[in-house]
Formats: sequence, structure tokens, C-alpha cells
Amino acid sequence: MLILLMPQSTSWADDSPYTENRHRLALKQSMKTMTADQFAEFSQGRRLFEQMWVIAPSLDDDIDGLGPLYNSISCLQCHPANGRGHAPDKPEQKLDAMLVRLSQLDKKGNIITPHPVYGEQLQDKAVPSVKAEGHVSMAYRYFNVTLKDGTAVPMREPKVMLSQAAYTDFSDVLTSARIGPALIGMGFINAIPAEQIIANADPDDLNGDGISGRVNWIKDSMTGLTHIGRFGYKANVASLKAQVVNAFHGDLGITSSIHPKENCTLVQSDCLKALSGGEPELREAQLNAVTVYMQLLAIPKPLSIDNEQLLLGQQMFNKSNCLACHHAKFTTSKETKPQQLASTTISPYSDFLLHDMGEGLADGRPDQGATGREWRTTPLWAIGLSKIVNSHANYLHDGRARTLLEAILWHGGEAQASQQAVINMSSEQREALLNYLQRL
Amino acid sequence: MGVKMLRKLYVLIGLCLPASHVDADILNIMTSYPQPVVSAFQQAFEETYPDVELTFFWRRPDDALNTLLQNNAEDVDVIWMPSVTTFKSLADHQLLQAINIDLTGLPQAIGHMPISDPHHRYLAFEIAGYGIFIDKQSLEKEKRSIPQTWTDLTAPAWQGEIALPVPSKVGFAPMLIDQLIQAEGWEKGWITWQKIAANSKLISQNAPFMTERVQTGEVRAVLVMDFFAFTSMQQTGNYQFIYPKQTAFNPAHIGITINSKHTELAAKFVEFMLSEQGQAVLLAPDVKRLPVREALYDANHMMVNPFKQISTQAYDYQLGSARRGYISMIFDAAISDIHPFLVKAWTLVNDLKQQKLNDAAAKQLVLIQQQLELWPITQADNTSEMVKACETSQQNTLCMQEHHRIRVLLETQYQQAIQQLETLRFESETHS
Repeated sequence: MLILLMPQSTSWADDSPYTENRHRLALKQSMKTMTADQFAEFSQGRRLFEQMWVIAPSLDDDIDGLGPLYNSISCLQCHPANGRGHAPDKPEQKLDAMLVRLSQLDKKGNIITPHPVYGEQLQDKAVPSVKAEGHVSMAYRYFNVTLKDGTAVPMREPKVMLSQAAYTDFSDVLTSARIGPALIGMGFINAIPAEQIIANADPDDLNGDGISGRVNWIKDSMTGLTHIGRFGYKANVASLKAQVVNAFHGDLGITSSIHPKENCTLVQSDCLKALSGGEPELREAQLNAVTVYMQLLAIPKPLSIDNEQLLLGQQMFNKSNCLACHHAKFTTSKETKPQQLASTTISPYSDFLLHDMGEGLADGRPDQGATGREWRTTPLWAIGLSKIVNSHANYLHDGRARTLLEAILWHGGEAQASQQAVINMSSEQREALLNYLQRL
Repeated sequence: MGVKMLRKLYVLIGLCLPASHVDADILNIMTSYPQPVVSAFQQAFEETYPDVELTFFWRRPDDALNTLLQNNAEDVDVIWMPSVTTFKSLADHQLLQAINIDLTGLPQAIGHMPISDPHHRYLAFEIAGYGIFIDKQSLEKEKRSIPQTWTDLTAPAWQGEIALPVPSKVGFAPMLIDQLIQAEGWEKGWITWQKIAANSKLISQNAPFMTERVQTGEVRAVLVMDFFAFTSMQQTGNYQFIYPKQTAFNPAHIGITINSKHTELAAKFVEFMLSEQGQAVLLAPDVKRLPVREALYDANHMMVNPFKQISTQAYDYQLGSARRGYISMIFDAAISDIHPFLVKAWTLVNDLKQQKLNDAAAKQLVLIQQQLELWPITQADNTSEMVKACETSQQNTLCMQEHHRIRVLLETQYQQAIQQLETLRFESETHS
């Protein structure tokens, strides 16, 4: 049999935005094409991203203002080596790279987001003069899914457990646990023209393929304009800069020009009285530097598909219709700044649309236009580096999946047919598919 | 069961958590270690002691000292950071308590250099050494020798190929500079630095990322602390970190505050950090620091054991820490400010050495080089007003006046030498 060995993509120029590194620091590599000024800003951004922030007051007033309420002391804590976070494996383990979003279910059955007392997410840490909001732990129900060839795949279903409520009890709270996502190609995602994302939407499933991705339109409260949500597990953030300031505010308690007030709700009087690290704590130049850092991180270069098994895996990926949502190609806008991000063809393997992923993955918590069953298609690029970059890395929004196969088997709703196709595969086909995913 | 019902149930389950979790003891730790180091130790400790919750307060050493001296508002139980001066100052202010744990297997000195407090108020936790991170592959490809001493970097072949951190800008650099001055002596040490600097690009920022200057090919060697190199090195074998034959090691310490409300727990934490299990965490890829527990070296033969294999002349921390500002000021005045003159003068010297000079010209070149190797700055006593002034601030009037004086002195010396060297070169070219 004659097998045509095709490289997965065209050749890569030296000035491409890719890195060929496949080691544990692969997601921290910078693009090679930076100017001296860009490198200076990139370096400052990296320093701030890796900085463990300080409780105010401090002699170092450029890095103080942590909290009053917070989840993590640095960006790096939830994105170790810029990779994905992980869920605790046992109830007694602490959450150190994930958080829990909150809503309240009122007596009439209405869902109130953010939670009126605790806000958008439960902050389980606080500065000394302030009470942490509560404690989160994770427990699991373990079970097996048996594939058609008889292979039993261990699965775990997470349970979010809240305790030590500091301000009001946790009755009628809706939760949604989220691990820190890997930070890959964030600038490129920001630079995809809106029309390319819209072109893949099919909210009414007019093509009848059972997949009905839709855009999560996000209204900018300042301008009133709507934008495509493209960041976050629910596609509820429209721009990279907004993603950065939201994370600083929600996760670290660091204010910025966009979130000038501390992350306290009106009933959290101790939080409201706490010392601030500045107005805002994250200065505009610092915000810009962190954004530049995200923009100019190199994307790991996909590995070539250069043997029969990988070609079979690619075939299985296509045949199972994974590409319908894990969309392979976009070309960024030519007007994009910085120049390194412009007119570039990228393969994120996501359509950045919302899809109903079924009851198994549903968090039951609507979030800015996304229903409790909908999730943004997670980009798959460089997913094969997850365990290299961080051996504890997990998959799916709440880190429930310990392996890629486990993650696939949680796919339901619009992805039910693809999941079933994987269940029906022979072990050879399945191995080939999983190996192919390692090379994206 | 619907998802909403499930969620309510989970919350109810949460109200019946195991007592161990609800009653977890909290230990507050002040540190200046970076996130990957903190995470690695937190995870290791909390896995061993799930009933203990660690809370970390991050502060740079100066800020930590200031906070603890003013008011221990953060209820800090443990101090854990690489800063000899901070621990010494805390001990002097009676803010640390003696740690009563078994110290068997933990050396108290490296070479002639004590690393822990003799009264056990702070104990060495890890050590970091100064050295040279090189692009081994490219040097070997060109059959260049691998540097074994600091002085090796003064060779003309290294012209433009070294990254040298500026001590007034990069936190770890004052000790890097001072260790060689202490080892070689005041005059010889400074001359060696001037000659290394003449081969170097001076780096004023981003200490943790200095090794990238080698990995991107900008330079072939960078003077840096070992852990910066070890954490950035991959398994490719292209790069190497070298401890020069004579170098210095800087211990990091751990101590328990006098006001700790959890003394027993704090001692348990310290004990863990110094145990074989805790010290083994130092070998993790994102941590990569040198343990103080020697058993770790016995089990990892690939590692350089600084307690046995490296020569360390006693580095005087008291002297070094008292004159960080003074050393930084002199470096700026005698090296950073006149860097173009250093490069030009030593390039001319090296070029002329390659030429066939007549006897008179060769003698003249030797004289000019001797002139360049004169160090005209007298060492100020550690208790002098000058050293104190520079330690207060580089902007202190006395310190600035001395900065100006040294700069003018060295600039004049180098300009005169350059003029003589250019004349010599002109004459040499004319006669050949």
C-alpha cells in the first residue's frame, strides 16, 4: 500500500510565530521577531504575570494591592508554566489552580448572577483583616465507561463542596468550577476577524448535522456595543485585555482602570475597609505589558503527521466530525497590531462558538448569554504538551478528566455523535486518534 | 436527578465536611521565593500534613524586614527567603526564636563559610552559587575552551560575548561582584571586573531571564546564579552552567518568628523543609536549587556537591552586605558609566598584541597596559561615612560626589590610555 506522508502544515519560516520546543517551558517561549521595545515590554509583562502580589501597604508599591479577597497570589499559580491548571484529586486537597463561579437561585427559581453576597466567584483567600469567603473542596463519583471493544475507561464526576461560609450560608448557590486554561495564542484569538467566527455559526442547525454553534454576543457596558465573546469557558469575554483585567480583579483582587473598585460586595464591610494598593493597583502601563506578554508568546509548532498510525488518527478525527467544532483554520486580520499577529493562518482547533455539550458537562449556571449546558469549544492546539508542561494538568473546564479519552467521553449534546464514534472505534483507531491529538 | 438538584445536594454535602478540613491549622509564611518554588513546597508539605493549611505572604526581603520591624500585622509564623541580611537583622532585633529540631546531617558551613546562625535562630535551607552559563554547543563547535575561572572571561576571544549584570540594577549582582573582590583582593578584583566588563554587554534588568540571552544566541555566556540556569536548561545538552574554581554561595534561610502563635506547627514545617523529603523538592525541574542536606548529593551523583567539590574562600557576609551600595556605586562609576572606553581600550590592547611591534612599541604597550591595570580607588572602611552613605541611597550627596570623583578619575585614565594606544597603532601601521 502506498501511503502518502504529508506534513500537517506548510513549511515554517524562521520568523513564524511558532516555537519548535516541546519541553516543559514550551508555552513560555517568546516569538523570535520582537523588536527591542517589544522585548522590554514583553519582559515586564512576564515579570508581572509571574509576580506574587503583595498585600498593601508595601515598600514595593508597584506590586501591592493583593485582595482584599482573592483566589491566587499570582497569575502563574492558576496557569503553571502558562499551561492548564488542575483540580484537587481528593476533598482534603486544596484548590490551587482553579476557582468556583457562583450564582444564586432565588425562591422563585430565578438565577441571580453574580451572587449578591459573594459576587462572581468564591474567593477562598483574604488579606489578614478580612474574612475569606469560604472553603471549597472537590469530591468525585467514580465509574467506568465501557467502550465497544470492551475497554473500561475510568471516569470521575466532580462534586463542588462549599463550607465555612463567611458572609451568608451557601444554600441555593449554583456553582461552576473552572481550572486555569492554557495560555496559547491569546493574541491570535483576539485577532480573528469577527466574520470568520460568525461564518461557522449555525444556531438553528440549518445544515442538519446536529451541531448548532452560536456566537455569544457580549455587550460592552461602557460603549453599548456588542462584540463576539471569544475568551473564557463560556465565551463570555470579548477581548484579551478584558480577559486580563477580569482575571486580575476576580482572581487576585487587583484593580485596574476597567475595574477600579475592589472586588467586595456591599455586604462585605471588612473587605470594603481594607487598604488599597493604589488607584488603580494595576497601572495602565502594567496592563499593557501583561497584554503584550500574552500576545507575543510563541505558539508551539504542530508536529508532522508522518506515519500510517498518525494518518489513521487524522482520518478518525475527521470522520468523527470533531472538526465541525474544533475548527482547524483561521486567518487573522491584516490590520492587527502588533504586526507579528497580522495576516497569519492559525490552527487553534476551536470555532470559539457556544455548543450544548449535554447534561453530563452542564453546570446549570447561565453565564452572560451562555446557558448552563453550553460551553465554548476548547482550542486543542498544543494539547499534547499539557502533561509535559505540567504533570498535574487536567482537561475540561473543571479538570475532571485526567486523560484525553476521558475528556472525549464526557462530550454529549451536540457532540454526542462524535463521542459515540470514538466509543465504537477499534483500539487501534482510538490509539491512533489519541496520538494524533498529541501532535496538534 | 436534575443538575440543579445535584448541585444543591453537593452544597449540603459540603456542610458535612470531614472535621480535619474545617479545623485545619493555618500557618502563615512570609517568603520572597517565586511561585513555582512556593507551589512545589506547598504541595509537598500539604500532602504530608493535610490538616495544615499554608498561607503565603509574598514580600521582597527589604519589604519583609520593614513589615516585620514595624508591626507583625500579618501574624507571620515562618520567614523563608534567600536574604542573609534580612535574617541577621531580624535576629539582631530579637524577632526570631531558636529552632529546636534535630540538625543531624545538616552542615553548618560550606568551606570556611558558616551558613546557619550559630544560635539556630535561622537555618540554611538551600544554597545558590554564582557561575557562568554558557552555550556549550557553539563553543565546542568552534573548539573554544570552556571557562573554568572568572579570569578566563578576560580573554580577547570573549569580546562582546558575555552578559554581565549591573549590581545597582540586578539584585543578585552585588554579591557576584564582591565575592571576586574578596577572593582576589581589592585592586586585582576590580581590574578583573573591568576586563570582563570590556568583553561584556551590561545588563540592567530582568535577572530571571538573563539565561535567555544565551539561549537566543545574543551572547555565549552570562554571569548568573545557578538556579536561574538550572531552571531554564532543557535536556538538549546545548548549555552548561559552570561553577568557577573559586566562587561564592549564598544560603537561603528559614526561621520562626518570636511572636508566632503556632510555634510547634512552625517547627514541624521547618523540620519538613530540612528533611530529606523536603530537600528532595529542591531538585524538582521548576525549583532546581542546591540542598543543604548532604544525603541528597550522595543519592544524586550527577549533581555538583558544593560542600565537597567547590573551592570557596570564606565570603564575609557582614562585609558584603554592609557595602552592597558602595560596591554598586563603584561599579557604576568605574565600569557602567565609562563602558565604551573600557571596550575601546582593551580592544586596542588586544589588537596591538596581535601585531608585530618593534621593541620600543612593545615596551610602550606593556606600560600602557600597566597603566590600565592600576586601580586608583582606595577601599573605604566598612564603618566609614562613605559606605554608610551609599548603603542609604545611591542618591545620597556624599555617595554621588564619590561616584562623580571616581568616574572622572577612571574616565581620564582610560581616555589617556586610548590616546596613547591609538598613537601606538598609528605608528605601528605607518612603520609596517
